[in-house]
Amino acid sequence: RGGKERRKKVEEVDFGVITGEARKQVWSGAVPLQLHLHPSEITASPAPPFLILAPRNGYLPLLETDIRHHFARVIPSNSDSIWFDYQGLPLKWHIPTGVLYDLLVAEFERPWNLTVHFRAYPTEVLTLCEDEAVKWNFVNALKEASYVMYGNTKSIMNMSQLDQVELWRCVIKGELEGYDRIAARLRPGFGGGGNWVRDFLLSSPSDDGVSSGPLLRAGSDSGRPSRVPVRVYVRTVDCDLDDLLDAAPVLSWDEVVYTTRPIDLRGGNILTVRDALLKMVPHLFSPTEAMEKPST
Amino acid sequence: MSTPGDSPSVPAPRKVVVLFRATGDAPIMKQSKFKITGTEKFAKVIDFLRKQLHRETLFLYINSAFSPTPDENIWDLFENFGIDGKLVVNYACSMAWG
Repeated sequence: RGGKERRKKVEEVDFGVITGEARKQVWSGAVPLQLHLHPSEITASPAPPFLILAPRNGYLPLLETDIRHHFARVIPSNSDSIWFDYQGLPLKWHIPTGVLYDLLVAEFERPWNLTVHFRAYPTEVLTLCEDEAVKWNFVNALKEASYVMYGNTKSIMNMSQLDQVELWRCVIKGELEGYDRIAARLRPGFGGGGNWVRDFLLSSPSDDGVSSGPLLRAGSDSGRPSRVPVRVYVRTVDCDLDDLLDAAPVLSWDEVVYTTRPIDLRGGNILTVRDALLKMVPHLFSPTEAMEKPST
Repeated sequence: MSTPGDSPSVPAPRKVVVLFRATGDAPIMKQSKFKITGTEKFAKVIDFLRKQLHRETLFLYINSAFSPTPDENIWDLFENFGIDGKLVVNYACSMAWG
C-alpha cells in the first residue's frame, strides 16, 4: 500500500516537470517567417524578402520596427498601419502567431511565407491596430480570463503600473519566469513564491476532501479557481478529403470557428486537455469516444 | 471531418437579449434592450451601437469588467457571462475600467 502511494507521488512529480517543460517549449518556440512586401506597395526596385523568427506567443504587429527597418528604402512615405496576409487571407493581429500558423498552414511550410502591407488596411476584415492595441488586447484577455476564474477582474485592475509594464515586457520577450512571478501575484490571496502554475495543476480538487470542493470555495480567498478559461479555434473543411494537405487554403475567417468556454474543475479528477475538448467540441470525436468516461 | 451544421453542440440560431448601460458621459439610449442572433460576433454589437449613437469611438465592456475581442461569439459571451438571461454591455466614450 505504501508502495502505491509512493508511486502516485512519483507520477505527480513527473507530471509537474513535464508541464513545466511543455510551457518552456511553447514560450521559447518561434515560427520562422519570410516576409514579402506586396509588389504594388513599393516605390523602388523590389527588396529582398525579410527573414525573422517570430515568437509563437507573440503577435505579428510587434515585429513592425524590425520589418520597417528592413524595408525602409522601399516603403512609400505615405505608409499606413502594418498588416499581413497569408495566401490572400488578412491575418488577425490579436491571435498569437503560433496559433495562426497551426490554424492556417496544413502543409509543413518553413519559413512561413507571408505578405506584409503598409497600405490599404482591410478594415472590413481586421479591426484597427492603433498604438498599444496589441497590449490592450492582451490585458483584456487577462481580464476576461480572471473573470472566468475568480468571478471578478480585481487582481488585474489592482495591478501596479510597474507590474503591468513588466508583465507585458515578459510576454514580448518570451520570459516565462518573469511572467510567472508577476502572474502569481494576480491570484487572490496570493501568499508568495513558488511555481503557481505547477501548484495549481498538481493540487487536484480531491486533495481538499469531498466536502470542500473548489466550487464551494469559489470567490473565497483560497486563490484557486473553480473554472479555467479555454479557447479553441477549429478550422472546418466542407468536403471529404483523404489528406488534410489537400485542403484549399483558408479563404475567409468564416471557415474558422472560435469557441471560448469555462471548463469546470469540479469532479475530483485531474482534468486533461482531452476532457476539456470533449466538452467543447464533442462533434470532433467519434460517438464512442465521446461516450467513454474521461480518463485521468 | 464534420461541419458545424451537423454537430450537436452548435445550437440552432438562438437570440440573446443584450442590455446596454451607459457609463461616464456616454449618451443614454431610449431603448436599452435588444435581441441579437447568438451566432453573430461581438463586432455586430459594436457596429450596432456605433450607428445608434453616431460615434466612431466607443469602448464596450461586459459586466463592467472587460472588453471581448470583436471575434467572440455572442452566444459564448452570453453563456459565459450572462446575468439573469441577459448579456450586459456597458459602453463609454472614453476608456473606462483601464
